[in-house]
Amino acid sequence: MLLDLEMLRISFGAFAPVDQVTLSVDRGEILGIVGESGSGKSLTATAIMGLLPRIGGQVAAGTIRFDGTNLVGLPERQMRRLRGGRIALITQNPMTSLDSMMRIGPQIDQAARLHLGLGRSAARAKSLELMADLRIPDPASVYDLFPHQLSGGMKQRIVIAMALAGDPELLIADEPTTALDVTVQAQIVQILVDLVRQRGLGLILITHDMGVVAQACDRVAVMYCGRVVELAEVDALFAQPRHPYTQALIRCIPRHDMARGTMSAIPGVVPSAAAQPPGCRFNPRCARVADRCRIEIPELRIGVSGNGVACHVAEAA
Amino acid sequence: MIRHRALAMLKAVSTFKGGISGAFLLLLVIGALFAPWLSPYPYDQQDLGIMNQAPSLTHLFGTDEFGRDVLSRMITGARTSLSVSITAIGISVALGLVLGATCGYFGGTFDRIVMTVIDLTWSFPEILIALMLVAIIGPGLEGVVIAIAIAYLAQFTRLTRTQIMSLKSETYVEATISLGAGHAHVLFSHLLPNALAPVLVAAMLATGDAIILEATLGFFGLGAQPPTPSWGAMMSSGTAQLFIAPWVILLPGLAVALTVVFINLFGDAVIAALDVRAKFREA
Amino acid sequence: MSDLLTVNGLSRRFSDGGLLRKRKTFHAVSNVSFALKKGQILGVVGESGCGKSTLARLVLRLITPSEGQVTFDGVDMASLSRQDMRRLRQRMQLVFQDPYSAIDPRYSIRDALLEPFRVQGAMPRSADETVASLLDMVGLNSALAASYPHQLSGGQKQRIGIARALALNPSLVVLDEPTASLDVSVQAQIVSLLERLRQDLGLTYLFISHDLGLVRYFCDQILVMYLGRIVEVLPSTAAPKHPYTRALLDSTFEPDPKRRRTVTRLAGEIPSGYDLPTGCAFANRCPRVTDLCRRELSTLWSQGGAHQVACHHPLTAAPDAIIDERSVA
Repeated sequence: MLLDLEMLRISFGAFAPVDQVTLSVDRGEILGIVGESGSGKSLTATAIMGLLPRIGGQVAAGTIRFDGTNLVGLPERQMRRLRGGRIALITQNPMTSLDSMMRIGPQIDQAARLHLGLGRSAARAKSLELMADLRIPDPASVYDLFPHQLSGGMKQRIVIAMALAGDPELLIADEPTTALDVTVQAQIVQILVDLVRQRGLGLILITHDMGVVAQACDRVAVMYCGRVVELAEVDALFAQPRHPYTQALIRCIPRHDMARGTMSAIPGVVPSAAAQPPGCRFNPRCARVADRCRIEIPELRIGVSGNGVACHVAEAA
Repeated sequence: MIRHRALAMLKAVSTFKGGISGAFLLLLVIGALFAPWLSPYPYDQQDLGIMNQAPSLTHLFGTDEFGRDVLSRMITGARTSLSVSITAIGISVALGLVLGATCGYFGGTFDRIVMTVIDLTWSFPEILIALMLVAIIGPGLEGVVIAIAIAYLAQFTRLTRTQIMSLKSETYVEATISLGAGHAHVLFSHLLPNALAPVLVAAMLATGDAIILEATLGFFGLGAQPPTPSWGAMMSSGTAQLFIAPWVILLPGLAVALTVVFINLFGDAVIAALDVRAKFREA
Repeated sequence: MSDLLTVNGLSRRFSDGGLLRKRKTFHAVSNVSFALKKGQILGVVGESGCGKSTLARLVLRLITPSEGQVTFDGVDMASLSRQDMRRLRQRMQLVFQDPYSAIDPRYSIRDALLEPFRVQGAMPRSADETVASLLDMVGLNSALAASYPHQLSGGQKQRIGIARALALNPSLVVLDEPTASLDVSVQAQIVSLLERLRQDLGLTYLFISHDLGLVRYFCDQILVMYLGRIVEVLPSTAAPKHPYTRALLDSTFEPDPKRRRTVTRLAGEIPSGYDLPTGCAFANRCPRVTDLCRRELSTLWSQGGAHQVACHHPLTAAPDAIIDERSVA
């Protein structure tokens, strides 16, 4: 495995907004992490990047194994070498990820020069090649533009190019298409999928949209209130979602053959980190809640197939 | 809304900086309000037998060239300084809010004319404008109040206008208009209340500057006319005895400096408290 | 059923530049016409810059049109006095995309919900009861009345936005991307709520969205806009005939891995509304483009029934399947 998280617990003071997260990504694989805001999906990404201390959090328990090395407790110097190099992050908002005072090209060059030790012209050649790979028209002239001269979709491609410049093995994309128009979103997702297939990268795609998951991912971790509630192959997940939350999330999205009024919503709201219910955290919103769910937190049990669910009711069935 | 602002004030006062400066300012205001009862001697009681006496137990801050008690004159002077600068800034803020809101909200030719005039006055130092105005109106407290008020008008008009213009594009303003609201409702229920906080903070800081301006005008003999004491006038008359009785000029000077420093400190504390609320709102 | 809203030849241009810069004209909305029947849901779909939000504001006369006419319930809105227009606003309301900024942060929820009445000078006799019933109507606990916007979640705020819009009993509600800034799970809640309210209160909706999948699910009739113009008018069940509508449909991902798509067909991005091409605005991205498209703009022409398309080469009835049954492991 390229990346292995085991029983990861993230804490901010007394709160643990992420707990017992176990998941993994292999090379050439796309793992989707899906959940609503407050599910801990972005925090998990922050933890992998080793950036928790910057926002006042820490890994309180568990391991993050990247290519065999445990990143938890790794000295900042070594972490810095990985970050932007072998592990790269694509953030949600391309508008704020780019330095508006700097030309596009040098921003892409940075990672290659820093992590691969390339010289100016070698880095430039690599950047131009990357831009062409990402189907950016006329890379040589875009190279000399400033960010404000580009459209949102183009900027997001530049951000992806920046992430790829350090030849990463693991790419984490945190809601990479949320801020984009639908046709552009489709292009960007396509580009990410192609990248993984061509370069054998491992990709963690963080999203709240089951549609994007179905379109792009190989395996999926569904998160709710800081825990993985279901982990499954994408086909199995959509054909037979086992956790009531997964089922509800899938039913939230309108499908081509749905009649008006048949889309169902999840009742209630995501509880705040300070007001987690006892037992299964989904129990107040769950349609299939049993007595046991209100007392005991279900654990994620992963079977031989690699699929698993954290639900008392689904396990009993 | 009132609760929010009160909360911000409480928060400001609860910090070290805010607490200390707030306490000083409170004492000062109490002193000014109850000056006739708090002064150990009548401020205009002359006693040529005790001219230019150094501070002692009978006259804590000493006496001036007419044997008047400096402490009593400073307490009464605080009354003049504070009332003049607060009244002047009050008038200035009120006018600035009206002008700035009108310009910012309606724009157009009126806005362009007002802003041109404002930009013109903006390019002169306040003291110059005030001196010119006092020269036209004539010396005396009323003249000083009007002069200070007009000298600071540009600042408040500009600030209000900028605030209103940026608030105008907020979604909730459009939401209110789409409910069928007229200009008055939009202005008085949304724009002005939201624009008020920064204007009030600026007003507080400007009050500090106004105290200096008032003292300066008083120093030139343009403010309160004798025997009414003001800090500026006291310093002015003290220059003659600078080497015989330095307390006559130094103590009012210190009073001006301390007051301005504490007003600024308190302003800072309030700004910090308001910012905390803004951050909380975003979260 | 009669038409509640008719829009005829509506256009809006914005100019900027001036003394030192060349004056430029932005065509936000160009020659848009449609009619909306009472009780119907009309969807307006398109990507950013297509003019859908401007159209919403033109319809409500929050922006005055450069050309064209909007008739609401038989009344030409241009003929109304300021006073009458303000009164008419009670009957046509707007729900905003961003619930986070649509409520004055200094207003409590109670104040925000009573504002519509205050504005119209018709304060209800029992304010508390009104607030409670409005909150109840949008599925919120009446205890929320005392809270402030920053204490609410996005979904809750959007419910407040809807309650405010419905407070004055409007006939028409314009929904400007009401779910675009919410999580999909919350979107489903809001859409279900809107559906229920429409049935209970007999509302008519103009529903603006960038999500064709959602619009097809929710609306009776759909206008597809591209760079300020309507490119297709279609019943929500019909197969799209304009290549752009097709592309939009192919770009919406369904929660079904068996329906994965390769979307390499639509290259490029939307050109700027400043310099519209003489021909079809979609020509530079269209897979079916010919010289005719670049030269001449197609008008909307009927495809049978209410279905109209502005395209010289509309797609045939059977959808050009660009849907791959997935083969990649």
